[in-house]
Amino acid sequence: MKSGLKSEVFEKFVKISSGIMNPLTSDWRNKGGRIMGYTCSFVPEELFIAAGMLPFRIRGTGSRNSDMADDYFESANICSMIRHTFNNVLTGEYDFIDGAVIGGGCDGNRHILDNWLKSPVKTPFLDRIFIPHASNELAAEYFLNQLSGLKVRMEEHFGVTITNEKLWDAIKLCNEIRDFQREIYTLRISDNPPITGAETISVIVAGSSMPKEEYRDDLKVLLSELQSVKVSEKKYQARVMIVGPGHDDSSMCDIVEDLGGLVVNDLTCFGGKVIFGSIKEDGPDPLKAIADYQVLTRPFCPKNLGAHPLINKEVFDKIKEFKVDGVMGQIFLCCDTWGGEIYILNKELREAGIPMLRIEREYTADSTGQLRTRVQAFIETISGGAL
Amino acid sequence: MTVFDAYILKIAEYVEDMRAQGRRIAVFNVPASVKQLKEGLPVRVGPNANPGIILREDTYVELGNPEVGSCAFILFTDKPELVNDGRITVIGPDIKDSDNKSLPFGQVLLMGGTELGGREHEELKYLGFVGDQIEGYMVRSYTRSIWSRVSKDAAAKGFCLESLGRALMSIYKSGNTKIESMEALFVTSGRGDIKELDDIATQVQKITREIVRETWKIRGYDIDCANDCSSCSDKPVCDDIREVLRAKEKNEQKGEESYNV
Amino acid sequence: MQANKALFGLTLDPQNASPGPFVLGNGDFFIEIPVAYGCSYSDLTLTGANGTAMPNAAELIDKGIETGVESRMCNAIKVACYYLEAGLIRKPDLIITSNSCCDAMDTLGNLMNGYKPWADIPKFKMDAPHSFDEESYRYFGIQLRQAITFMEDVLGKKMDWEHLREVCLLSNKQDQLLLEFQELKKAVPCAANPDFSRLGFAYDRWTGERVSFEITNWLEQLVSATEERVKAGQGIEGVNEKVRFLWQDLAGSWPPGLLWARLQKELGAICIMDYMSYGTLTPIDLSSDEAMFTSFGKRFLLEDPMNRQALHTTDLFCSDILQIVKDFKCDAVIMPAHIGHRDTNSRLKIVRDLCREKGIPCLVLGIDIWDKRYMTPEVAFDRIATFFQSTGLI
Repeated sequence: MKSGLKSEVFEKFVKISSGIMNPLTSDWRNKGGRIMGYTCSFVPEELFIAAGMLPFRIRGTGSRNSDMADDYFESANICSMIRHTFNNVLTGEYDFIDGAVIGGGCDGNRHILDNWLKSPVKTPFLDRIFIPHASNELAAEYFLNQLSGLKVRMEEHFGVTITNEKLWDAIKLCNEIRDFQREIYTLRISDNPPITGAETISVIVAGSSMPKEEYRDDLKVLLSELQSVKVSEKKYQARVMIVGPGHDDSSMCDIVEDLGGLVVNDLTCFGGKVIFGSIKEDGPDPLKAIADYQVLTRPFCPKNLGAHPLINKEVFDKIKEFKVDGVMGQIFLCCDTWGGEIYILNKELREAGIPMLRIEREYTADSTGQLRTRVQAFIETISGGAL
Repeated sequence: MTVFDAYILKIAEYVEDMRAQGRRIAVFNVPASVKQLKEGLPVRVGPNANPGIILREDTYVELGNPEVGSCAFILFTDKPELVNDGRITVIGPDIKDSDNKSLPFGQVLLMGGTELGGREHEELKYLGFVGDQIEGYMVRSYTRSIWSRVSKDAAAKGFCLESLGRALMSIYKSGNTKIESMEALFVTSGRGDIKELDDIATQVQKITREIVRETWKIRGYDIDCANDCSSCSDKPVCDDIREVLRAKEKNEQKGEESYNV
Repeated sequence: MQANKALFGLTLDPQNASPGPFVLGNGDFFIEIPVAYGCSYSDLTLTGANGTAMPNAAELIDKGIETGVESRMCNAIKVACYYLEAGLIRKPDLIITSNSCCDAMDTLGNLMNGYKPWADIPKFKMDAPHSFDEESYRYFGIQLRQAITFMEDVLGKKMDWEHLREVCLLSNKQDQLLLEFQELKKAVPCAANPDFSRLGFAYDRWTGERVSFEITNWLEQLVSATEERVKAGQGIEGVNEKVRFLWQDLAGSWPPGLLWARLQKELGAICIMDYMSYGTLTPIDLSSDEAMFTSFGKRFLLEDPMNRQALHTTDLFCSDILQIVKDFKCDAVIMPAHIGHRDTNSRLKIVRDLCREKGIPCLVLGIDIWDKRYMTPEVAFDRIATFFQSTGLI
């Protein structure tokens, strides 16, 4: 399903999000700009922006098989998102980056760095920070020390100085972007949203793959365009929320929306998690503000033992606010962390009388036939009738 | 490889500092060549020189029990002139002066060679797992620090820290021909002195981690064997071997001499 | 084995409950703390693992799969999830969870913290960092200190610090004996039954029962008896030792009895070392409170198996393999590549390449160490035998 949105900005976002390298990134590079790749939303883009770099979130987009990565990560045991992402690294898709910081979340993700170092891919700067597993002041302080260490190493390697002023500017920029992104999400509360879930993914993912100031300006334009769109006809049968890892492409949304559902919200690693809240823009230490945001305000990863109550609250709040009819909990095979989280959520939602469909799948949208059947049945159920 | 140069100088400063504090310091200057290093040693050095293990009751002295203090690391440089080839420095009591006690133990091995670089780090570290190569001296399986035992027999034969230094030098120099100069420092004077050495070790460890990462980066990889049997290109060969072996076993059980494959 | 049974019974059978508060964790904790506090401590992961050793293991594993947590998760954790969800676990007085040492255990921790019937049970969550440096040891040590305060608040009883020191001293003494026993395994032939060291280290970190004078005496006798065997040049009873291999993972429930035993008997192949048996324990530093907790942190993060192997970087993992092979004269490395073991399965190529470089024969199996139906003991034996034969080890 498409919303029928006609927008140059939107088309630009679609092109950027559907591949890896794009003209804007290429242009940045050609003008001598540096690019820092990163995995995981816990890795703060603000630090890279303050270093004058373009933050580029590493994805598995476009990867059709993971043969090369399967030599490093055993295919029956490691989630396909990690393998496809690393496969893109091995096939040279990320040869344009000047460095990468791996956010050490789950066991597989943590070892992307070790395997990258062993691979023939010669990325000049490779580093790692570890995601906190608790959400308290002590953990925030520990995370702050990690960020401080990373900052020093970046300054040494790239010969830059990351000042507090630059960090505050970067924080402000990213907060602005998150504000606009949330506003776009908010438009989907209406009965006839001007943008679909699949289209929203393109908007959000594009933001992690292009220069930030330009992205902010484009978002503003898009928002204005969306706000002026009038959708009179209801084109869907059920309103769905997606919860789970990844979600860096629209394949799941496409399936739902092709079958008469509409994805009105999500809490995923590339979507709802990324846009949540804002970093405090006052205080003496911008790095501390970032650390506090990641650990205390936005600890949505189920790897964090304190995350579930926040995940639960966010899901239930959004179900109410966005008038969600049913939730789809998607897990990639071999993802223990989200497997447990979706399991717990499933019970809680069932108790609250909210339908949930639990889907275990591979990162690439294979077996879509099977998936489609299950999704179709779910949509029929929650819409209360045949499509 | 110059990253350790500053620390090689720090070790020299440490020794002078110990001297200034009145520590007992003995300095030995031993030959450079592997052959000469082994000559006159009271114990054998080489593969299988210490085939057994040294039991508690056979121990003359224990060095570096973590309860009393232990520290060990290596430093290397591509400037051989920074390292005093053949020098063995002992700060504190030697083995014969130990009164059968357990001594704190610090061991620093310095190596110089124009071709020594980051790639050699892992190999040099691996050489340090001396295993059974020094008669009467057993290094316990431990990481980062050294925890070892000297047997009564070895002590009776005159094994001392100079012997240990010579033995280690011969093992390292014969294990890696890029080592042009080598020096050893042993510290047994006290836990506090070991702690000071450990502070240097902590800084060195940060650098060695970086070296390890860089070394992995330089390596390539080859896909000639997948990670489990089902996708391995050699699986048919393995399967054939297995069939042959099964057939052989069966025939042997039947008492037949020949078989067809 | 009695301690194993006791631990299992502790969690599942209230009648086996020892007096004193019952603390339940998702993984290991710093066992000296509950022992000094007079609490019993149990680890739900271990309970699940022990379940896979029961006669009805297949049924339990299938029930674990039916819980629907994640289909390729480690089966020990799935069984633990089943026990939890089926209401079979004795209600604890306190819950202490951490993310160590793997994703599946972390998930179990989340399930425990979210388990509705236990909503009223006080819970404490700890963050085990993946770094091994002084800062991380201190960070974790602070959390252990906070855990004590938490226990004091909940149980209304102050920690007897003197008694904690006594327990730590006893722990240090037992660790010295365990390490001594480990050294004896270097002898060729190996005089020490590797099962003892594996179980010894397991009890060391998991059971409160081992922190007792009886166990200390038992360890002393074990070491002395093994020393006699070493002096006499004796190997393991009934085994003609030909191959010594490193099993670089947990032992699991069925491999020791059904696979290793057969390898020993029929091929003279001894599992000289596995994950759990490799101890690098430094004594707990009791010189000051801060030193004590920092050394607790170091012990937990860097020295306890399997935190040492699972939490940290691959260079540490590989360095250990090389050291074990050299120190214990291993002829080969076997990577079980256990199904559900994410961190090991992310490093297989690195380990394979390293072994190839060093000329160490290495076999990657791909088994389930808790469910022998995935790859039967016969098939596993067959593969290992072929590997030994094709590499000329037998």
